[in-house]
Amino acid sequence: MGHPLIAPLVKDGTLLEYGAHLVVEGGIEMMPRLYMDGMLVAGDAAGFSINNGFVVRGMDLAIGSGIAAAETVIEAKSKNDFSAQGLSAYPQKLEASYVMADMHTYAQAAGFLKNRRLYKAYPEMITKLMRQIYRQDAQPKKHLMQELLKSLKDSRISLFDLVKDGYKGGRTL
Amino acid sequence: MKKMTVTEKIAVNKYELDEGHPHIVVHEEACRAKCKNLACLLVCPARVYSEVNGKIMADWAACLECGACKAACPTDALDWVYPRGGFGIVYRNG
Repeated sequence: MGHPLIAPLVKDGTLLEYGAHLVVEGGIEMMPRLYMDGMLVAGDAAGFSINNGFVVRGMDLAIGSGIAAAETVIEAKSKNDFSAQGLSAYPQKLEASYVMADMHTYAQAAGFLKNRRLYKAYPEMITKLMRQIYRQDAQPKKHLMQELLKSLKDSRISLFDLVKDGYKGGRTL
Repeated sequence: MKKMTVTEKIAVNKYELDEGHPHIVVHEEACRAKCKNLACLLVCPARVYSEVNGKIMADWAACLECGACKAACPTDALDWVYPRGGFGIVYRNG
């Protein structure tokens, strides 16, 4: 609120409510039942958020699922059938939209991002490697490959880990 | 926008207080023995937690039910569940 870009926008504003919320990141694994008699579940209540390590998305998926839910309700109203049966077009509409397309694309991302090496060993290793590459201290240099192998060893990352994580990351993100 | 304290912000909210049924319980022994960083004091946006004479107290009535403390607590000293149905924070604007 105090940010110079935001402050002028809310200058004369009044606080209506003070809230906080954790973002769900379980992906497709944590999706609950999406429709039942008289009820549709959309947005993050439905698990529609994606963290792929670069962006944490949720608002676009909330809007997308909201649109699908609204279309479903309009159809249900025209038939005056709000039973689970009457609302059963909802998951199909979601599947046909970018919402479920992206949930499928990043289905494995949450699992991959649990890898502890991503937050400690790799950043440490890359920092060390870059220091070795760019440092000029009037000492003889080694081949880059040797430096790379040494930095991996220092950070206790095996070549097998590197190949495995690289492959998995490439597949899931 | 007028700068507000956390207490002032909390005062704007609506709560259904479940008197006598705290949904947050801090187990003092485990808390004292295992915790080094007192993460709950830092992460809670409602400042539910406070340290009184070396003991962590939870003013659970002000809880926004975000779950940050549960995620951040490095020990098993924190029992955190949602309040019973119909109780706790009543979000009127989302």
